[in-house]
Amino acid sequence: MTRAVPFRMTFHAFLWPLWERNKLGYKIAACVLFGLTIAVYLPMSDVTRQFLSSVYSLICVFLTFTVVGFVPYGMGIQAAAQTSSTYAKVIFTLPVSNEDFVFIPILIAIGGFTFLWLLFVAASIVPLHFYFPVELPIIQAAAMVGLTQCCWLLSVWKRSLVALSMLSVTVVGFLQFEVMFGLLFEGTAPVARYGTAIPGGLFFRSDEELVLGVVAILSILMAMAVAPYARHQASLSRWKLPQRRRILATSNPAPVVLKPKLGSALSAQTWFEGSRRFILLVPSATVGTAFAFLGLASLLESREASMASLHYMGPSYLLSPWMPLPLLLLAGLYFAVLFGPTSPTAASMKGRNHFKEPGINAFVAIRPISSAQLVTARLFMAAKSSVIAGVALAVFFALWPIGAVGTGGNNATVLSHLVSLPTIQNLLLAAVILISLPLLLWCFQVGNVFMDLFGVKGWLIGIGCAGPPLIYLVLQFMDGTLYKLDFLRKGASVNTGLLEHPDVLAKLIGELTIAGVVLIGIKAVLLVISVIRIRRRKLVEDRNLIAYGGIWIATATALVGGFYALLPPGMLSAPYLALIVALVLPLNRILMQIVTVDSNRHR
Amino acid sequence: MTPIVDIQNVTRSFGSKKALDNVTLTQEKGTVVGLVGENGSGKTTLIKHVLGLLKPDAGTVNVFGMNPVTDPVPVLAQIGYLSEEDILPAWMKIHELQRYMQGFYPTWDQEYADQLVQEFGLDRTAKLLTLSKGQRARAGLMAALAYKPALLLLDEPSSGLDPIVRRDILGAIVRTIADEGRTVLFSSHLLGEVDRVADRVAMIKNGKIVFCENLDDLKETHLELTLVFANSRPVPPRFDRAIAAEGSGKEWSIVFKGTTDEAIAAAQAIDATIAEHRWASLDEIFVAYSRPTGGSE
Repeated sequence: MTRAVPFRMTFHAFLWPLWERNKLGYKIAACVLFGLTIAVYLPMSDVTRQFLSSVYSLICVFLTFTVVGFVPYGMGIQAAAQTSSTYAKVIFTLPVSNEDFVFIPILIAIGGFTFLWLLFVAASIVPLHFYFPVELPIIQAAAMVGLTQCCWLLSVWKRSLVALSMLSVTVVGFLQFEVMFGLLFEGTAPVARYGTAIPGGLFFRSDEELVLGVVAILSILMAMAVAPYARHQASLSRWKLPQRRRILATSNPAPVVLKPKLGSALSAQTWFEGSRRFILLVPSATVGTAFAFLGLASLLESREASMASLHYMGPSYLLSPWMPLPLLLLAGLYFAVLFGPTSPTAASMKGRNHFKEPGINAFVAIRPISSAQLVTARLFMAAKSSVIAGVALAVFFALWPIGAVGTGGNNATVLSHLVSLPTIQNLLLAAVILISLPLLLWCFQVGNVFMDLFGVKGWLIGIGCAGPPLIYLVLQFMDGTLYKLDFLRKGASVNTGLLEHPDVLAKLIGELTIAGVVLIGIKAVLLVISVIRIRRRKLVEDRNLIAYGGIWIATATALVGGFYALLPPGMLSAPYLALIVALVLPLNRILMQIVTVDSNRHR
Repeated sequence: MTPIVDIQNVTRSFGSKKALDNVTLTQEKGTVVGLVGENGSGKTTLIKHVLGLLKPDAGTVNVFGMNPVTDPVPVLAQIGYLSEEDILPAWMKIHELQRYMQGFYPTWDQEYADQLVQEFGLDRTAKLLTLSKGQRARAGLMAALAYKPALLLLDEPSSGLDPIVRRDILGAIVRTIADEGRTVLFSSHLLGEVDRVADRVAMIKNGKIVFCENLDDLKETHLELTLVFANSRPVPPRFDRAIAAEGSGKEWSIVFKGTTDEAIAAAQAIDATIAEHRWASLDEIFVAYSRPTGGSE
């Protein structure tokens, strides 16, 4: 009889690879925690301290959803992009029971997160004396980790089920969106809803906790059910199945469809980047999530005022004079932030270099193509993916009113919006915004890749440590304005508060402008450094550099001009628009990408 | 005539480890150089310098008279590369791989590529992911050969492959040599392969070139001697121009660098008689330089 492996040994067998893979994340979290703690204990006025507690409560809500959400999403993408699981295959062959195989990694992940979270509570929430449901992020972590484990095992069992990893994005994204809109339309007291009677109120204190708890339990049960099949599949020899396929292919070979010859290195590389099946993942994930939002919003709108706002503002804002701007830009920004940096496009760009580190794959690095052309091919691919996502999102926004009508309740309001014809200016504005969406998505897809190539670890740890003290300095700088923003502390929504206090809005914009100008200055210095490096290494010909600059200026001018002409007079001045566009539209980050690609290629 | 590969005094370190130490190696057009050495000796690092994937800390690398780091495009356009590592993208199908490669290399010969596909028994519609290791190596070889590169770089191409695939790879090298003016630089553990096809052999050890000689010269200057002593010896004999010694008691095998006459003279100097002598095999020379135990008296 085989003796069962002791739990302690099994635990260590799982702990070590999990720690090795995630230690960077934990180190960064520890640095952030350290920074936040410093910020709390630094001297500041009572108003600032009170404001800080509001900000920290929002950080609790928003960042925990975001950070935990990225973990499963990133893992799903990794699995999709690398055609392999995130665990070493040997883990399937460990002599452990299916229960241990599923539970131990979940236990370790939730335990690690809970440890950090409780440290954060002790360091920040307790000294700042604000209320936050401590159990919520833990339940959320359980849901996310369970869902990740479940989706991963499903994808090991049936490769085509890898798309299920997107489920986690939908759930997390929905909750983030809810919080965001709650903040905008219900006020800064996201915890106000706690304690109300809800189904399952014995164990869960809010809708979110109920949803997450059910997700956690169901996904762990599902993982348990799938584990034996996944382990069996993983234990098959790597090419047993392919071999069978090969025999079938030999007996009945499929005809090769001859495609036109690729005439140049750039066209071949563009085809290479575009042929990866990941190109459709960004659009499908974006739109899938968007439609899932709509469905979840419909389900919860009767309970949540913010959900009702989310649902009905689509048609109403599209037809109102200027509100499409915040709505669509917010949605675009959301999708771009969520899907951009962690997108499969970005993941595919990173590849693996000949040192097995993020960088340029050796297969690509040895092709006779310049580093600038390698980057250009990737920019094309990201653009293609973003345009598809933009078109799909346009369809989503067009269908939004129909979804709202179907849910009943406020049909009269929705119908009244539908019958009021939009003006030409509104349609043009909507068009400019819909063009801006893929552009924004593209910016986020391509903007930060250089950081991965550059060696992101140091940067992240640096940001983790420097970020919170920097926030503290900004808070001190804005102390006067914060005093006037006290409506936030009193629970008013951002929307109402700012509209009722135009003087505060003006002051806030003024201070943000100074910060924006400082950032532009930093970007300008970095741009000069990049250009010097590019010219020194002769990576791009001068005329092409001038062309890049020209395209950037033309695009920026068109965006600024378009928005300025179409927005209601006085809403945003041309200099402010120029500042926003200059901050968002990447130029230096792309040039940096050329430099870092070249450095990775020739180490 | 400008050499195809010209490596002069190249030094490269990774942290505190010196991977290449003042390496100098040149290769003329139309020659086959076999690079031999133990694992971690610096063979792959050297080949990566030729490809421009690595930059030397000191020294210069020129390929076709150009620096592969500052002028990668014209250099890489003339190089075919196959490595032990599987670097081909798994998602690609064979015909897609051909189409992709065609875009980069104007000299791509589709007829030749199809001929290789047929010869290697590859299915053009198969994804690389579904192929066995040997078949992926064949696919990589097809991709490296079909544009008839002026310089073929093979980094342990046969490592871990079955004899049939190794034969295909060797055949490809032979065919490449047969094309006038084509140059091959390959590293291998399989000294039999090097023996069959190389004109020159370079041995690298701890990042240093131990020797770089014509294969025939190398073999004609290294003897395998069996020395017999009157009395038993507890330690290997220290022997002028001996590279390595192995044995015990009265009888010792020595790999000796020099002619037969020089060997006889050296043996007499230490009161030993040569019981047997023959030309050393490449294998014996390699082992002797890898683990030298003898040396000058």
